[in-house]
Amino acid sequence: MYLSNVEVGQKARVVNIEGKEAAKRLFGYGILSGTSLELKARHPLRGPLVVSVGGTQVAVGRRMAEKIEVELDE
Amino acid sequence: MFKIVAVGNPNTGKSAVLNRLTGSRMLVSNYPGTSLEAAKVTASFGRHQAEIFDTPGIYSLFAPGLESEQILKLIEAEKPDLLVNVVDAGNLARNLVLTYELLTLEIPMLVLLNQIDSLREQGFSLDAGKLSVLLGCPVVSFSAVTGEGVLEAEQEIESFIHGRHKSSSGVGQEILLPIEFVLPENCSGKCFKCQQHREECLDRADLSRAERARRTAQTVCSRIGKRRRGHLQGLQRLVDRSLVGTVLLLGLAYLAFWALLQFISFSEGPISALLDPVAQTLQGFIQGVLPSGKIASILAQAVPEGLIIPFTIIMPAMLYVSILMALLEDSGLLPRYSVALERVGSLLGISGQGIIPLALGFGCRTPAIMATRILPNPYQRFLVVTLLSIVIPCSATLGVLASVMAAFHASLGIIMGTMLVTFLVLSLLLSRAVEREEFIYELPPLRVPALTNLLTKTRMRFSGFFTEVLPLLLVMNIGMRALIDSGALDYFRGMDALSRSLFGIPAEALVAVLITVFQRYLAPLVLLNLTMSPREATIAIAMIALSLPCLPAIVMTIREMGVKAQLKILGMGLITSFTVGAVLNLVLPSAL
Repeated sequence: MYLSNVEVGQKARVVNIEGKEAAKRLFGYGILSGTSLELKARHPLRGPLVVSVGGTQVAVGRRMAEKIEVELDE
Repeated sequence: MFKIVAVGNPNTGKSAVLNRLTGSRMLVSNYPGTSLEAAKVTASFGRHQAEIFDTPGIYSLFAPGLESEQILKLIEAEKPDLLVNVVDAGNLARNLVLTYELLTLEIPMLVLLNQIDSLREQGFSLDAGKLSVLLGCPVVSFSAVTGEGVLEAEQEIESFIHGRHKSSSGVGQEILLPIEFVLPENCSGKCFKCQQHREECLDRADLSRAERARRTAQTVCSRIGKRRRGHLQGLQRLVDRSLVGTVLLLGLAYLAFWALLQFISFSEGPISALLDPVAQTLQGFIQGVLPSGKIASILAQAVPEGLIIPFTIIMPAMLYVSILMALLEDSGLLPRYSVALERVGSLLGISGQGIIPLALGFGCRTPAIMATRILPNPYQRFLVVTLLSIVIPCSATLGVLASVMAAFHASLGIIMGTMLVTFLVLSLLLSRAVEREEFIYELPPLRVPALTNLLTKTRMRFSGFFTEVLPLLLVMNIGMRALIDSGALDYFRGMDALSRSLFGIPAEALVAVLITVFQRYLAPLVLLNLTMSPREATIAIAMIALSLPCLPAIVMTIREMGVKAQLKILGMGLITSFTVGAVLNLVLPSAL
């Protein structure tokens, strides 16, 4: 499943990021394979998603979120 | 001279740290992309002087983007003796990735752990000594807010200047990594020095550094107590909710915009009352001193005009917007606006925060052009400045246009519709040319901006009014007045047949379009002296509303983006205006 399908409040772990460019950019924000994150907010009309990762909050556009493959935490 | 380059992630408070260290004013905002230029300042440490370069915040030296390229170029060109890496102590794992990248440059380095006080508030402690051993370079716990660590950091820098820290770079304690993160044997991990790095091996090195950063952070950080709630956290949780937050942010923006209009209209009266006698004295003085003739009459009109208009409207608006920008940047609200407005912006093909200067433009376009500094890259800036210059009517323009429309019974609906359509078409056309990056922003914690930072930023931005905007405006005003008085525009008055066949308006009205650089004061007045049918007036007003920026806006654009960009915008403005005229002439029925 992808980050774009995660519900607000759910925690997940990144398993893969599709695309080199996306992986590069997300890397800078501390989002890479293995990173744990929690979905904080989901903006309407296919707007950005806000995730908390490490100690910070990062807003990710919907198209970017569709490239982040995640696994839900149990 | 001893050269220092300061590097750090965005939102680490790097500028505040440097201000503390140097006691001087540098202005590089912490917002990604705000400044592409490195600010330079000279400071003394003990008896020695050092040059310090501040750089825009970056997440990684290898990340795609202008900033990292520029920092690498700066380092190559200046060959600094010391790197100062400002690190956000509260977000160590991510910040250390950049630290490890910087270490591979093999330049002596000092790490400043900023915001150490807020880390403690979160209930953590950080072992700076251990971190120093792991990194192999001195590490100082720092707080730009309380001043903690300032002395220590200065002493460390002095030691570097004296050469006492020679063997301090890059020889940190090796951290054991799981096998999947270990670099292959033929790879040193020093990607900058590597002649043959390929994409995949760079990825491996990246991953390895990230894992090392994570483990290092884990080793040096420990929880010592409960997290104390920051007083803004409740508010932040509210703002970061998608719907409530957006409504809250838009409400706040509306309030700020309303206050801008109030501020302008409130200050206009007293300032012009104060300046009117000055202008008259000036006019009298010029007429008295210079021999009467063309030059005297041009100067007598242009000089007071060039002083009064900027002082009454531009100055208060620019002051207000300077304060507003500083508040937005330092409070952590700006990236939140980007998130809330991302959808609206994407309709127009601009990034979310581009909406802020566009909205400000309805108040006054000149400071709005300055406010485009908050945009992430020069292409986006150009796009928004173009829209501001050509299609966004400021409150003053709207007022004058409304009165002219009333005088000729021109069609309000057609003019407004034309403006809206032009705005959409132009923004879509332009955004085609501009590559839109995928949206990703860090949302820093909300904080109450430090008053000293606010004052410094406001003063730096606002001082440009006196040093650049005002003189340039005066000169251009004189030039413009000379052009009009020279009768060059009369040439166009003879082109009545052409004007009527192309745009359906008399040539006199076309001249009004051409002098819209005086938009607010002259163009509508020229129209008022003509006799025009509602149809002619509708076309002429639409052409004026969608043509050239006013003189102050032109001056501001030259200051912010350069002459070349301004010429492009002027060209596009004329094309837009003529296209609008021609299309309306074709489309509109012969009697309105």
